[in-house]
Amino acid sequence: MSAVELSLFSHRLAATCEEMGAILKRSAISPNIRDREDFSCALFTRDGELIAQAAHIPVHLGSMAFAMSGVVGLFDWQVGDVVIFNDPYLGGTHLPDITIVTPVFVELELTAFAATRAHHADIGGATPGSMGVETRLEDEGLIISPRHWFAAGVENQELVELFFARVRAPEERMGDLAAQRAACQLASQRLNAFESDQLESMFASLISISEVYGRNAIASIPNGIYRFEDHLEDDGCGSTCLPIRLTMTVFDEQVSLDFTGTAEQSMGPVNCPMAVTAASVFYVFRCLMPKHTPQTAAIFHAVSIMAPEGCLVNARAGAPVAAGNVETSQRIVDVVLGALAQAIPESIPAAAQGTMNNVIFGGGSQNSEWVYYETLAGGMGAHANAAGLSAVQCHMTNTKNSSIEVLEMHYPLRISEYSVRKGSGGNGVYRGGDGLIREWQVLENCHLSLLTERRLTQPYGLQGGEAGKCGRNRLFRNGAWSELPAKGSVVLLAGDRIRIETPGGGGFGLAVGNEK
Amino acid sequence: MFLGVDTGGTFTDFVLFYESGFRFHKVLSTPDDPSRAIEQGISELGLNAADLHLVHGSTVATNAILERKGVRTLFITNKDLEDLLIIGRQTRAELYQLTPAPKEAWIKHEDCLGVVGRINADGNEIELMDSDALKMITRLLEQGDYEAVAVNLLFSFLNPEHEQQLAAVLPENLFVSLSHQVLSEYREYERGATTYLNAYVGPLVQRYLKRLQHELAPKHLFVMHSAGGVMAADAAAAQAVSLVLSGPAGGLVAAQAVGQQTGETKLLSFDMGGTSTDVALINGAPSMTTEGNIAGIPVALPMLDIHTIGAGGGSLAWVDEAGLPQVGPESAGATPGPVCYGRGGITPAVTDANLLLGRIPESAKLGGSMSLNREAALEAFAVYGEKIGIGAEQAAEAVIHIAEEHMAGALRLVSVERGFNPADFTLLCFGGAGGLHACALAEKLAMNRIIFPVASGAFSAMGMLAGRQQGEFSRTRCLKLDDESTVASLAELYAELEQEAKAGMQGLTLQFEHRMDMRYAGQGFHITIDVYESDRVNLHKNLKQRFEQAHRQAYGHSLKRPVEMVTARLTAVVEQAAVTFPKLYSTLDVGQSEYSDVYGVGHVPHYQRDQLSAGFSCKGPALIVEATSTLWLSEAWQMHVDVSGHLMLKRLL
Repeated sequence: MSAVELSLFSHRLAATCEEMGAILKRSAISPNIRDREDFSCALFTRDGELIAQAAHIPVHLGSMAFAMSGVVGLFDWQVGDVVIFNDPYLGGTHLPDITIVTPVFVELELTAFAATRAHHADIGGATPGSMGVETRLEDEGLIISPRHWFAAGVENQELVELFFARVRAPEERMGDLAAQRAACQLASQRLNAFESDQLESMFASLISISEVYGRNAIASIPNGIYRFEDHLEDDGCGSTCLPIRLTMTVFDEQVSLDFTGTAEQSMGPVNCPMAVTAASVFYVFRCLMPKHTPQTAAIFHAVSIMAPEGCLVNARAGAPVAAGNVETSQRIVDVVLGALAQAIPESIPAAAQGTMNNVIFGGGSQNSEWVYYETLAGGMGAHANAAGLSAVQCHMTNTKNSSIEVLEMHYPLRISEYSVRKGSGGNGVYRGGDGLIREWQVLENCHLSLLTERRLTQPYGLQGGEAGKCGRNRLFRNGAWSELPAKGSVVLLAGDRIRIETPGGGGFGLAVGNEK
Repeated sequence: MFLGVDTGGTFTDFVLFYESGFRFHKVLSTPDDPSRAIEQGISELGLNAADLHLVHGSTVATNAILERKGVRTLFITNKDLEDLLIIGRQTRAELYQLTPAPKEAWIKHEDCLGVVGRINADGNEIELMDSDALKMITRLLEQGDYEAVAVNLLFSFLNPEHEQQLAAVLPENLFVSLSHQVLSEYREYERGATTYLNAYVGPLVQRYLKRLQHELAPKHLFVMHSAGGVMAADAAAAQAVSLVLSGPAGGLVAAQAVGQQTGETKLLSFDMGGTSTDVALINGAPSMTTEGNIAGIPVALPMLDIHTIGAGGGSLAWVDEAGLPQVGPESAGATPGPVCYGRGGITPAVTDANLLLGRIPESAKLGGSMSLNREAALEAFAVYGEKIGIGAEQAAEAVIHIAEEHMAGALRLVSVERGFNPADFTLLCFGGAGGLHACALAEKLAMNRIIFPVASGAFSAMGMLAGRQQGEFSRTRCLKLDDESTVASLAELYAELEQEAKAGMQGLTLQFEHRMDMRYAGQGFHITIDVYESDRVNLHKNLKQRFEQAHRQAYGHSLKRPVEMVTARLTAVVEQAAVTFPKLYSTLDVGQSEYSDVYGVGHVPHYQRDQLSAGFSCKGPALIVEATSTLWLSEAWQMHVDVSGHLMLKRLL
C-alpha cells in the first residue's frame, strides 16, 4: 500500500468518526451529550484494536484504546448485534460512561467494530447524578457487564426493563442510547464503501505506520530513569494524603511507567481501573505527538504501564470509581508530567489546577426532583515560552460551562459571583494561569455534593516557579463563612451561599522581579 | 437603476442591473478608505450616483474585528460578573496541547466594569441599581478615551429598566449599545459578546456610511446584513455587528436566486478561495444560525449559516514524520502565494498541482493579467515527490486527491450535522478555485448535478441586488405551551415586536413573518418553528404538532414532555420585485478554441466561457476557461449552457 493511499485512508477513517459524532450529538437527548459534548466515537479492527477516533474527550480516547480488545473477544458476533457495557473493570471507566459497540460486517465478513461512549446524566446511583461519595461500586449505580442490547437484531427486553427499574429518567437514557447506536450504524455504512480484504490490509498498514509517531515522540526524550510523586489529598472517607508514585524508564524508543509504591486502593470513590490510568498516561504522550497523528492504539505501542493490583491506580473489581475518572486521572497526569519535566523541561508545563471541581446540587420532592452538575475550570501551568492560561478546563476534560441565565431560569440557584481568581497562579518568570471563583446562592433547601482536589496540596511550579494557590470550598450561612470539605455532601438551607475558588496553575522559572 | 457593490479584500465588484440586463465591473479595493474604490467604479461605469439605488456589502465591521481595530469600548455588566467575556465558555482551543500560546485577549480587564443591581429570572428587581456606580461610570468615561459603551445586564431581555437607567446617565457623545436592544435573548455570554462587538465597531460603521452617503449622495443607500437581507444605511450603525457577514451573505442570496430560477431548491453552495472555502446549505431557503462567531467571538444574531473550511487553492503540501503526504491547513496565502505565482513561494500548493497537471491551462492569467510559472511548479513537485518516492505529476495528483478528501469530509460533516444527506443536493460552485474540484467532490458525495452560475466571479455583488429589505427582531420569554395565559402572552409579545419593527423601519410597508424557538422542557437547545396567524389561538393543535414533526425530522424522535416557547422572532420584510437573470445573448458559434494535455487524461478541448451561447452542450473531459476561474469538466460529466448562461452539469451514470 502506498503512502498516498494510506494518507487518504487515514483521513477517511477520521472523518467517519467525526460524522458519527455529528449524528450522536444531533440525535441525543440529554444536554450533557448534546451541549457539553461529553462523548467519543471510535473504530476498531476486528481484534478490538483502536484504528480511528474523533478528538472529543481525552479520558475516552485512552481508555478505549486500552480496553476494547478484551470486550470484543467475549462474543461470537452476528449481524445485528449491539453490545452495551459500563463496567469499569471490564472495559469501562466509571458507571455513567456507557459504551455501545456494533460489529461491522463487510461482504458478510466481520471486519471491524464501531463504538460510542457517552457520559449519561444518571445511572441509578444512590445520589442523583450518580457522582456521590459511595464506598461500593454497586452503590454508584447500575453495573452493566458487556452484554447484548440487541442480539442479531432482537432487543433484549430484560435489559430495557432493568433500565426502567433502576435509572432516573429512563426514557431520556434510552433515547441517548438509541443515538449512540445510530452513530455506530453510520460507521458500518461508510466502511462498506471498501472491500473486506482491502480494509484488512489498510488497517494493518495504518497500525504499523502509526507506531512511528509514538516512537518518534519517545525517541526525543533522553534515556534515563525519572521518578516523581504527588498526592491525592483525600478519598472522601477519611483516608488522606494518598501518594501516587511513578518510576518512568525511557530507553530509546520505549518507555515504561511503573506505579509501584502508589497507595493501596481506597474506601472512597477515588480509585481508577487500569483503563483510566492508561488513559491518563496516554493523554500525556499524545500531547507530545504532532497534531495530525492518527488516533490509533498503535501510537501507544511503545508505552508500557505497570501498576500493582489493588493499588489506587489499578483497583480491584468492586472498588468505587466515580472520582477516579474525574479527579485521580488529573493527578496521574501531574505525576507523569512531573517525571517528564526532568527529561524534557522545555516541553513540559508546570502543574495545572489538577482537579475538575465537580459540583452537584440536587433537591426537590418526589415528583420534581432536580439535579444540577457542573465542573469548573482553573489555571493551567506556565511553561518555557508563556504564562499559563487562566480559567480554562485542563488536561482530561474540556466541557463547557453553563450559562448563568439558563441556570437561574431552571434551578432554584442564583450566581452571585463568577470571576477570574486574580493572583492564584504561581509566580515565576512566567506566571501560572489563574483559577476562577464561582459563588451560588441556593433559594431553597437542597443537597450539595463536592468531588474536588488540590484544596490542601498545591499545583507544583517548575524550574524555580512557585506553586499555584490551593482551591477552596466555603459555605456562607447566618452571616459567617465556614470551610467545606474537598469531597462529600452537605445539606443546604435556603439563602446559603456556596463559594468555590479553583486552584491556580504552577509558575515556570525563578522569578526575579520581571514576571510576565 | 440598481447597483450592487461588494467590497472584497482585493477587488471591489460592481453589478449594475438595468432594463436590458446586467453590467459587471471590477476595481482594486482601497482598504484605507473603501469608499474611494466605490466612487471610482461608479465613475468608470459612467453613472450618476443620484440615480442609483445602491446596495452595499461592506467589510468595515468584519475587518475592524479581525484586525482588532474597533474603538475603545467600556463594557458594563453586573457586579462580580465583570470577567464574563474573559472567561467565555471556559474551554481550551486545542485538546492535546501542553504549551499553548497565550490567548489573545479581545477585551481588556480594565475595560470591564460591574455595577450593583440585579434582576432575577422572573424579571423582578431584587436589588436596586446603585447610584454611586453611575457616578463612577461618569468618572471612568471622563478619564479614559472611550468612544463607546456596551451594557449587558442579566435578564435585560425580561426587564430592561436597569439598562435604561444606565443609558440615561451616559454622555450623549458616546456610541451606546444596550444588550436588550441589540439582542433581546437569553445567554449572557453570547448576548454580551454580541453587544460588545456592536459597540466596538458601531462608531466606525456609522462614520463610514455617513461619509459614503454624504460624498456619493445616491438616491438610496442600503447595506446587506448577515441574515441575507438589506437595511437602510442610517439604520445600520445601531446594528453594526449584523454586518459581519455582509459580503458572504450576498453570495448565498445570489445562490438562492439561481436556485429559484433553475428550479433547483436543494443546493450545497461551495465557494473555494485561496486560503479557505465557504459552504452552506440551501434547502428552499438558506439555513440560518444564531450560533455564529467571528474569530472565535460569538455573534448570536440570526445570520446565514455559512461554514468555513480551512482549505483552499493555497493549501500547502508537506510530508509528515511517518512519511505520509499531507495537505494544509497551512496556506501560502496571497504572499508569497503558490510557487507558480513566482513571488518567492517554494512549498507546492494545491494550485501548483492543478497547473502542473494541466487542469489550469498554462495560458491562464492570474486575475486576468499575471502569467503562471509551470516550470517552477514542476520543480517544486519533483522535490516533493522524491520525499515519498514518486514522480512530480503523481505527487501533484496525490496532493489534489488528499485536498479533495479533506473537502469532501468537511462537506459531508456540514450536511450530516444539519440533518441532511449531500446526495440529495446540487452542488452550486462559485469563487475562484472551486471549478477545479467540483466534479471530483460531487462524485465523492454521490451528487449528480453541479451548477456553475453566471457572474460567479462577482457573485456576492449579484446577491446584493436580490436581497430583500428586512429586519430581525426577537425577545426571549420562556412560555409554557400548556399554560392558559400563553395565548395572550404570545399576542402581546408579537405586538411588541411589531411595534419595535415599525419604529425601526419607519415609512415602509412591512410584512411580518413570525417564528418561535421551541423545545421540550429541560432541553438545552431549540428548533425555530414558523408561526402562522391561525396557530396563535390554537397552540396545541397546530404549533405543538409542527414542533414535534420538526423534532422528529431533525432528531429522529419526539418526546412525551411539556413544550416550552423560548424566544419569539419576527422578521419584518418590505416586499419588492425579484431581480431575474436575463437571457443570455447568443454570440457567434464557437468551436473549441484550443487543445492541451491534462495529466492522466490526454488531449482535452478548451472553451472560453464568454463565447458559449445558450443551448451549447459538451461532454467531459474539457476545460471551461474564464478570466477569474477554470472549470475542470471531468469524464462522466456533461455540461449544458442554460438560457441565462448558467452552466448546468449532469453526471452521466
